[in-house]
Amino acid sequence: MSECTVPTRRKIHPAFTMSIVITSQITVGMLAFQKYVYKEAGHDAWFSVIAAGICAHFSVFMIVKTLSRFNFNSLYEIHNQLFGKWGGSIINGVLICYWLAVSTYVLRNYIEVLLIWIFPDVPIWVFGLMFFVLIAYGLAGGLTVISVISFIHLLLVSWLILLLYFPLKTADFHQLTPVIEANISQLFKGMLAMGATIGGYDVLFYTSSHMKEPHRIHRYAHMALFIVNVLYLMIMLVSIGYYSPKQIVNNSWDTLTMLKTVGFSFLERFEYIVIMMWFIIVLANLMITSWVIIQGITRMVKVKRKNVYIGLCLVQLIIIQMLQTGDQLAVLSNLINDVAIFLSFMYPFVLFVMATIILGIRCRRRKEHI
Amino acid sequence: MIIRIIRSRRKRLVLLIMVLVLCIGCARQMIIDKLSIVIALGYDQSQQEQERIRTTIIAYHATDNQAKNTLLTSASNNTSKGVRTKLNLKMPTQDVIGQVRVIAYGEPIARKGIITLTDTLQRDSDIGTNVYLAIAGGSAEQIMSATNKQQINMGEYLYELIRKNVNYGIIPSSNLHHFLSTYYRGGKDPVLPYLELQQNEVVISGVALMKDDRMVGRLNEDDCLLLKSAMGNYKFDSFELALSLKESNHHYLPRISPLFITLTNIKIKSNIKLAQEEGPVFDVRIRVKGQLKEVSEQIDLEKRETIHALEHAASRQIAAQYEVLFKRLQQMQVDPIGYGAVYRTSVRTKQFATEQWRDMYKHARIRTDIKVVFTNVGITS
Repeated sequence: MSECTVPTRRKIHPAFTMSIVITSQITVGMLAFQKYVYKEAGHDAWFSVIAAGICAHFSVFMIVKTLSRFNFNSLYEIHNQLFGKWGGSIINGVLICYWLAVSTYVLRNYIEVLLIWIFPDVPIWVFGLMFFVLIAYGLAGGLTVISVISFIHLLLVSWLILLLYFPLKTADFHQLTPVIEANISQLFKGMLAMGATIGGYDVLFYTSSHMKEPHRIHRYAHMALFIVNVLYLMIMLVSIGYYSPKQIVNNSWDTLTMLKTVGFSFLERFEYIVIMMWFIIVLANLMITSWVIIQGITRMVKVKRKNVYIGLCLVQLIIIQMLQTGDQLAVLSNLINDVAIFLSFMYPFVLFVMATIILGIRCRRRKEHI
Repeated sequence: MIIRIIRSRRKRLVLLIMVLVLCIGCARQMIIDKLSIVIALGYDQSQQEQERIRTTIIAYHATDNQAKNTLLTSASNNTSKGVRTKLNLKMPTQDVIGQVRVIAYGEPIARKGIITLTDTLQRDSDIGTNVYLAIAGGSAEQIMSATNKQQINMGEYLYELIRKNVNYGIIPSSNLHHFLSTYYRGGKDPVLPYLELQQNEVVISGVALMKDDRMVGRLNEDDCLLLKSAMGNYKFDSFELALSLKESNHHYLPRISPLFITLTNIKIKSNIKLAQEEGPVFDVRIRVKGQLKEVSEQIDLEKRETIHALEHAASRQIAAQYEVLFKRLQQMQVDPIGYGAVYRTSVRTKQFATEQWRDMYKHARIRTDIKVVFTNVGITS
């Protein structure tokens, strides 16, 4: 227990939960989530977005409830307490693999955007190295620095929301009618397609132990989630109005293509700015996920954090270099989506039920012993 | 201890510089003086048997001579992107396509279908969606190699010509995004401006009506305005109407035919609603507001009744013209106004195919409700 407690000096204000949750939810998913939802739910896709958001609120509620039972320890610690050292380590290992896959996917997918839009002839590993150097800076400062970075980066990017005005001008919102034409199963499938896009708020499980007054994170977490949900809903509505059905389904980067229409007399193509601004969002996101991975590994085995990070970089470098085509990325994306639905939406409930049962049994046994 | 820190710092610095150097070395150099910046593209049917497409480009490249910085060249191949390989063999400078503003399709190729040629544009992240598409009467090469009196670059000339008429004039929006979104939307057909060479001058002589991606007909300038005004809310500079008052029973108006009136600063609001699913029947509601600036005969405009009678006559005239236009569009089986799209968004139907709509469109009827209001007739001075 003693090794995991964080000195009070290094704890951060619970309000930073907001910036951490928002940055871990918004990534490349925001640039291209419309297609997957629209394929399932048609022009009622916006309804699926709302439904997925509501579900996310429920699972955040469960996450905080579970955490408060375990004195706001990190999820790794909770697993160890519940399933013992070996069982906990196995589950933690699976979680670490998941986060590794997510961060590698985010990194590679963002590099894909860079390759398609700006630098088609730069090798993948060059971008990788650039990211790794910058992520190392954040990790050197720990969660204190990372939370501030994510906050500042969010502020820097937040004005991009105003750009939605330009596609809004030509949007035809008659395309939203007739409302709710899709049946329940289509809407549900659309909701599932939002899984990986809206997931990511489960970083709450890991960061809460670093907060000064951890019981206060509940409100901030819901606020962050609400902001992200509104953002996704807005982008979805504008996209449905702006595009025709077949266009939205065929386009790989709906948000970026939509912003192609933004032009000023001094800058004709604004999406290049958006792509470069997205760099800092992706960077903050990768800092958080790398931090989560390193926390998990150093808890399991006694290795220096620096060495873990070097190993992590090497593994990611090899994987992103191996993923060469869009098809491979799509396979990884589908896989992550499925896992994310389970880990972000269902696992908090499962964990809560398991915790109740196991703790209940232990309590009863203790009473019997007495 | 201190030495160790310096060492590690130096190491970090070296690592950073290494990364930076790598980045500089990897991206391809693009020096603006050594680029040909393509402004306009033209696609034509190739004359040769073994090649499909002839592409013409107008590019800008920096030279010492200001008057000769435009480059016009063309080549043929089977795909539009494949042509670039051949074009590069003709040009000493690297061509870049990010600044393309106008893309013209020759009429013969447009009559066969242009979707494969526009599809490649949306796959290219370099090309923006604000590019204007147009149909060139004769061939695109002919239009693009014409000269203009201002002696400016022909690509820019076409761009400004189309842009002005789309933004403030009677040409419906024709940029790449609008073309594609209309093409992919069930129950609506795209329209593109029709460029023509008249007395060695390039003019927009109307719009080309597309059925899916094939050009099937043309509308002249007068119908353009009616067409655009039915497509949404727009503002126009001016609008001339020929009123026939011969059989009119207004005693406030002279029995002259035709009486020409011109409105300026026009604001048009239009709305289409599905009135009956069976049929189908549509309600078309158009409100025209404008200043009456010119009348071809001396009429006393002091009386309110005279003005009302004129407004009424103008409304009837527009309604009559609109019905004629609608009949023509029905005969050609094209739906640029998007009645099909209105039908699609008003009826809960799972299966809505464009083919099916074309059959229904033949029997569709409209009920027009058009009102013209003169906001001002007075003498301003």
